[in-house]
Amino acid sequence: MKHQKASPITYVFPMVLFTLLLCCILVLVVLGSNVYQTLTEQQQQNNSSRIVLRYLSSAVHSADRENAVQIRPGPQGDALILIDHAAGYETRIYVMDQVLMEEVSTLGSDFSPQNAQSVGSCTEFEPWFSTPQLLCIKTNEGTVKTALHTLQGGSQ
Amino acid sequence: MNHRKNTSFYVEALLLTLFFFCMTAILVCMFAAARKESILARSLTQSQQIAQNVSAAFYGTSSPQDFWQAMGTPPDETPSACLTVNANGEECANGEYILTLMLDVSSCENGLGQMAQLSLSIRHTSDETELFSDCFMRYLPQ
Repeated sequence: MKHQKASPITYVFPMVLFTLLLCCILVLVVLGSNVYQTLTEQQQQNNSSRIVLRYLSSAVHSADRENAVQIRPGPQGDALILIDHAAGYETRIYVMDQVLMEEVSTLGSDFSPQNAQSVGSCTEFEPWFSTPQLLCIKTNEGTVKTALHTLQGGSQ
Repeated sequence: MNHRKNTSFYVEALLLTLFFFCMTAILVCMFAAARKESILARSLTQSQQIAQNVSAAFYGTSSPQDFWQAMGTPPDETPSACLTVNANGEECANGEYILTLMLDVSSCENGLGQMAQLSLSIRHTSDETELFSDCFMRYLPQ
């Protein structure tokens, strides 16, 4: 029985094919993971900016009454004060240790961050009145402007 | 006999490779589309925020001059402006968005006050795709 000698291509071709497929799979995995990372990052950024900006916007809109929106110095930077004159309490929104806090307290009482609830992560919080009816709030997630129906005499 | 076996192996390998390349191309296209959609979603979120800020400035100012001032544009006779803005809606030379504003102020028929109409359009600087457009109206008392 004569043993036939195999040509080198018989070994080389499958190896080349295997390497090629392996490279393709590797590229696909890297590409897919990059895309997935980008997608999740951008989704998180969208959600985070929506949470903070929509919360601020809706909180101001719900308290939009005469002299109900004010800006006062808070524990760390300025605080946005939403006053409910009829009920005798106020909602204070401010940043404390890079967290956006909401504190509900009686009118004129001192700040008590230990009683505040966290809304979300926020490193920058700067409210100001651009005009007496236009409140602007700059955060690290973006700037939100809110048109108020009433003139705010308590603005600083 | 051995030659036939080798040929069938090569044909099968070739077909498998072709199929694999086709699948790779499809997956790469899907990844690219997903990335594009994600970038578009981010742009839409930001453009919606810019539009909200512009409309708030429109309703929160008492005159067209105040509005243009709030937008960071010096008030002049022209009723329109094309601004390059960043994600916060602030005018910026290398901003990502082009904000086109057209403010039309007309006197009411009864002569009491004016009606202001603001047309707004937001496009991306890179591909000029329109992301958002809307029209806002308000009454300006005398």
